[in-house]
Amino acid sequence: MDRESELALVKRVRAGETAAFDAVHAAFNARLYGFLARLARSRDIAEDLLEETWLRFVTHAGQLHADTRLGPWLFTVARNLHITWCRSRAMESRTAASLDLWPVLAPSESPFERTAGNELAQRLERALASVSEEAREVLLLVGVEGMTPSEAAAVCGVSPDAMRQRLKRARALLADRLAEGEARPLGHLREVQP
Amino acid sequence: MTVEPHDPLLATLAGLTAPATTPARDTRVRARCHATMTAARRPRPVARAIDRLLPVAVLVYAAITIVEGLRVAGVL
Repeated sequence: MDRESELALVKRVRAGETAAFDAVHAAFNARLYGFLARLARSRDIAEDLLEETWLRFVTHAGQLHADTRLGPWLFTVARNLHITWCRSRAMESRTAASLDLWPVLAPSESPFERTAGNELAQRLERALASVSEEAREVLLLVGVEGMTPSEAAAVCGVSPDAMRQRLKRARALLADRLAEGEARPLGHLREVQP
Repeated sequence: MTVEPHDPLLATLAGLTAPATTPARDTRVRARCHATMTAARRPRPVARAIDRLLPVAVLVYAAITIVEGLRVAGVL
């Protein structure tokens, strides 16, 4: 989507045109879903967060600035909703652990690890899922979504220089995890009991 | 504008397949968003005359009470 079309879309969304919303939805829905699903490592949670992201978008449609960049705006909302969800999850886990009522589940295999088509994609998904959330969001925004570090910095609320540092660290971490996977090619296979 | 150097690892990440959303849920979410947008565009109902009258009546009553209080106290 070029800048001209984006500005025209913003204008129409601000005017409350549902057709303009559909165009924005078509352009960003799959991307936002991929970002949230990889970040949260769960399709169900990603769908809930995605729905909330779109609802926030239409609720604030009338207050958008005329020069709003839709991608960074939507990814910022999605990221913030994910952070809020992580905080509530952490609180629930702490409460559950202190009450000792039910087991706190360990993070399971990402749905993308199970469905990634080829071996390289599987290794990448596995490596991506294994890095910290901070590193993962940087890699998703810059690597998968193709944002510039400056755009990703705006989404994460940090300076472009800080984002470049984060990206450098995240990239190195991902490369390490990929190298570990190569060194132990069968490491991910579980032992089969006779 | 800063030109970022090409990074093969990040380029590989860009090649990852985008996951598919659930069409039924997408339809439901879009319908909900359309409803929200339509509701926001609808003009708000004009306040009825009786609703505007109430605060006026309260103010008049308060003024009368104060004046009467001052009259009883002998100030007026």
